Amino acid sequence: MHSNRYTFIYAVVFTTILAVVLAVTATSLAPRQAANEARAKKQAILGSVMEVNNETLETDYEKYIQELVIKNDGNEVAEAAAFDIDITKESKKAEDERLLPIYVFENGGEKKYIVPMQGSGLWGPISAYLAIEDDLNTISGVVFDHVSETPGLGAEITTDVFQGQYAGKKLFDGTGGFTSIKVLKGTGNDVTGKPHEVDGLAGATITANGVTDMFSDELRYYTAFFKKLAS
Amino acid sequence: MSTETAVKAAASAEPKEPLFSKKNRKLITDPFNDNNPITVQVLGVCSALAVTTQMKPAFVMTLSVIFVISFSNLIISLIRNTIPSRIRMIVQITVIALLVTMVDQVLKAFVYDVSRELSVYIGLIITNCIVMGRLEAFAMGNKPMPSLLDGIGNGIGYGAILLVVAFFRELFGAGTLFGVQIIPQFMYDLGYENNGIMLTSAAAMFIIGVLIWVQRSFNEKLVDVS
Amino acid sequence: MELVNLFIKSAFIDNMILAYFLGMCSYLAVSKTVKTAFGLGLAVIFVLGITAPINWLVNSFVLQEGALAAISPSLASVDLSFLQFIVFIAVIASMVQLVEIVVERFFPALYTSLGIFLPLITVNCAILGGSLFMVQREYAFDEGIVYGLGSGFGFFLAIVAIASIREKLRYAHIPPALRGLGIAFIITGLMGIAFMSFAGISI
Repeated sequence: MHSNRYTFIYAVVFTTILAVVLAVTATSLAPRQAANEARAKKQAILGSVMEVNNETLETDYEKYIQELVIKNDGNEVAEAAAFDIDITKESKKAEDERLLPIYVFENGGEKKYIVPMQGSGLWGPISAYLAIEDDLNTISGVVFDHVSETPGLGAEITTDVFQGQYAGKKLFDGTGGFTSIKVLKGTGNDVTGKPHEVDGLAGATITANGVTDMFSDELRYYTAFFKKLAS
Repeated sequence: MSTETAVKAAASAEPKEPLFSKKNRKLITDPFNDNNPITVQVLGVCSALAVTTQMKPAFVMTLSVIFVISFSNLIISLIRNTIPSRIRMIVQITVIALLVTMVDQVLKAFVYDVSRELSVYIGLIITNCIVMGRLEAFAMGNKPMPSLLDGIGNGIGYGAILLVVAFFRELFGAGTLFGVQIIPQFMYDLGYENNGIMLTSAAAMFIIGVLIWVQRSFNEKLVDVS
Repeated sequence: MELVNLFIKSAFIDNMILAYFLGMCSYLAVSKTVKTAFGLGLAVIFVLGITAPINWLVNSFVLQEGALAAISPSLASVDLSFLQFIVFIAVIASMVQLVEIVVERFFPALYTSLGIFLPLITVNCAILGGSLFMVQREYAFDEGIVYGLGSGFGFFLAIVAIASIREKLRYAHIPPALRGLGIAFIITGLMGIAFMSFAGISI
C-alpha cells in the first residue's frame, strides 16, 4: 500500500503529464485539423450539386459557389461570412437572431441553392447539405453526414441509395404551403408519385425520425427567403 | 476461474524465457477458445452489438481494439509498480483514453477520411470493458512482454466472435457480406425476404447465446454447473 | 411534471440495457443471483446519479466553448470540448473508486462477489453514455440529475429482473451447455424485444 502522500503526488504528476501531452498535440495539430474540416465542408457543399473532383476542389468552389447569410425574415445580412458560421451554435439563439448561411451554386444558366442543416440521430449529431433547384421547391440533391450512428443501420443515411431518393422531391405542396419531406418507417415502402416522402431504413427508425425532424425544423427558417426570391 | 490461473502461470514465468515459449503461445491462443473475452469472460459485449450489423465495421473495430488493448497493456505493465492501488482505475482509464484520443487527433490532422470512418468507434473503444478488464486482470501483475501478447491474443479472440456474429447478421439481415450481394436476386423474386430482426441488437444477443451453446457443447470444462 | 416524465422516459422507454443495449458486460456477469444484482444495481444508480450532475457542471463551466470566459474574458474563445471523453471518464473513474472503497470497507461480502465487475463500472458504457447523452440532448441541470437517476433506476430494474429469471431457471431443464451465460444472452434479447413496445409511447 502506498502512502497518501505518494498517491497524491503521483496523481498530480500523472495528470500534469497527460494534460501537457494532450494540450501540445491538440494545439499543434489544430490548424491542420481545421484545414481538413474546411475541405470536407466544401466537399459536402459541392457534393450536393455535382461530382466532386478532389484535385480541383478549391478552384471549383471559388468558381461556382457564392455565400450568403440571411435571417428568418428572409433579409440578407451583409456583414457575416457564411462559411465560418457554426450552425449548431446558431440553433441555440432566439429565432429572429439566428444567422442562416446559404450557398448559391451557379454554372452557366444553372442556379441552385444549398442549405446546411443539423439535427440529432440516435447516438449523436447528424447534418446535411440540401441543394434546391432554381424553382425553390424541387430538391436537386442532398449530402448527409453523421458522427456516430450505427454502421449498417443509422449510418446508411450517407449511402447513395438513401441520398439519391431525395432528388425530385418537393418542399412545398400545390398551394405553396411548406410540407417538408418525411422519411417513412422501415424499407420497401412505395414512394413513387409521393413528392413529400422517401423510403426509410430497416432498424434505424430513430435516425430516420431525426432526419425528418431536421428537415422540418431547419428548412422552416428559410421559407421566408424562398418566398421572397420566388416573387 | 481460468483468468486467475493464467495470471499465476504468467506471473511465475522465468525472466529469461524465449519469446515463443509454450506459456507465451498460450497467452495468444487461450483467448481464442478457453478464455474468450466475450463468451467466457463476458467483456466487451456492448461494442460487439453495435458494430456487428455488417462485416466491415466489425473488421475495423477488431483491428482498432487489437491495437489499443496491446499498447495499453504494454504501457500499464511498464508502470505497474508505480501505480498507487487507490487510484489505479483512474490511471488505467486515462491511459486508454489518452491513447485513443491521441490517435484520433493525429488521424484527424493527417488522414481525415480515415478519422471520419473511425469516429464512431472512439467512444466504443474507450468504454470497451475488454481493454480495462485485461489491464486490471493481467497487465497490473505481469511483465511487459507477456502483457503485450495477452493484449494481442484477447484482441484476436474478441474479433473472432465479432466477425462470426457480423457474418450471420449481415447475411440474413441484408443479404450481403462486406457490402457485396450474396443472396441472388431470383431468391427475392421467389419471395425470400431479408430478416429485419437480424439488424436489431436483440438478434446479436441470440447469436452470441447460440455461439456460447455451441462452444460449450464442445468444451465441457466451460459448462456452468451451478 | 416534466421531470417525472423524464424519469419515466429514461427508466423505461430509453432503458440503457434493454433499449440501447449499453452496459451489457456487468449486467450479464453479475446477474447470477438477485442479491449481487441488487448491490450492483444500487451502485450504478449512485454512480449515474452523481456523475451526471458533476459532468454537467464540468461541461458547462469548463469544457464548453466560451465557458472559461467567466475567469478571464481573454479565454472566451477557448474550446476544450476535445477533452470531453477523457474528463468525463476520469470523473466517473474517481466516483467508482470512491464506491469501491466504501463497499470494501462496509460490505466485504458484496465486495468479493462483485469482484472485477465493481471496478469495471467505470467502463460500463451505460454510465459514460448517460453523461454524453445528457450533453447531446442539452438537458438543464435539474433534468441532468433526474436523467442520471432515471437511467440508473432503469439499469437496476433490468438487472434485478434478469437475476430473478436466472434464479428460477436453475430449476428448468435447459441443455447443460446452454445453462448460465448462454441462456442469459437469449433472455436478454427477448426482454429487449419486449421493451421495444415502450418505444411507441410518447411522453
